[in-house]
Amino acid sequence: MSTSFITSAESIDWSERVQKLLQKAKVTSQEVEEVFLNFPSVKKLSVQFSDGLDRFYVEGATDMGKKLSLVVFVEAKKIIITYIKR
Amino acid sequence: MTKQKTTQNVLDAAEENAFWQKNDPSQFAVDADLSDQFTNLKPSTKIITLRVPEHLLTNLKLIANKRDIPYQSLLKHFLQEKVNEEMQTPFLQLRRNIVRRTAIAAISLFVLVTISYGFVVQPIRAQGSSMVPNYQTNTYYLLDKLAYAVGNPQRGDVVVFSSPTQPKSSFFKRVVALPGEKVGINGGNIYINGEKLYEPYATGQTQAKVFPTTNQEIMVPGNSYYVLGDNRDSSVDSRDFGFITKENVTGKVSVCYWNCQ
Repeated sequence: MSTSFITSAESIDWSERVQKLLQKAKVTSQEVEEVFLNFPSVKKLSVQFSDGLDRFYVEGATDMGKKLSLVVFVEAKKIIITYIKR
Repeated sequence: MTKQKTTQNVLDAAEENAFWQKNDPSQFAVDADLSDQFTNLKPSTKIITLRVPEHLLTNLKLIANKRDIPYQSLLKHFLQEKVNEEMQTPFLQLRRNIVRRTAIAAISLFVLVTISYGFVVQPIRAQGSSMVPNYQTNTYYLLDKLAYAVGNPQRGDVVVFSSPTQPKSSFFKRVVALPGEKVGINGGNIYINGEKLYEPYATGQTQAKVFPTTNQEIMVPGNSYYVLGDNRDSSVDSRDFGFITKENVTGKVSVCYWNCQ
């Protein structure tokens, strides 16, 4: 099952594109990282992409309780963030 | 439970950002939460080169060995602890300072009040009509408890003393005669050693009662005092219960601080 990709993720991609998403959502990379490490709710999305990789909807909270929603996929053990919303 | 949306289109990765701008991803979510978590995800790190004194490194390795963890992990742990502490310091220090200062102030106040109340000054309330009009009932005064620590009560002093007949009650009277003096009451006046006492503070007629009786003259014993209320018509005083000793005197009535008239 594709969800095994989730457990295989070892790091997060903090490329310039993701930095722009962070700026737009007014959150920090640390907060996003905290969401992933704070046992978020993870749901698979039904949208299909040409790269064949499943997208996941991640909802969780930072250490300070700020709630964030993210869309991610996992490629080469790296989490790629494509959407951030506070 | 939200109704799940679907799209038949297969989107290009480049179109993804625009797609999520227009659509809420939660509406495309498959309802059930996945049991999988990001269990292998490690916090993002950055490699730095750090020069540390050798002895520090040696000690760090010793501690790390004791704890059976790599010294690099221990270093990060120590660093994290210290950073957290420093980030919280201003607020915590401020809070600790406020708590400490408040506690010191409260304890000091308590000690001061306790000492003052016991040995220096004590608030008292005038009750009854025996000292009217000079000391109205329900007015508050400070009682100077050190007034007679060295000296003795003087004629005219208003003192508080424990009643010789009811030791638990305190009275509030004026000293009229001192040790060794002879007191007589005649014609509504007080005579000390045969001389009429000028008493501008007294109201009413000073009638003789038991101590002394009319035309009698009594001597105040050593270490004792003859005290009378200013309102002679309405006062239970030395005329009734006799002399009071210096040991009976709690202190000298000082300034009025509340409900003064």
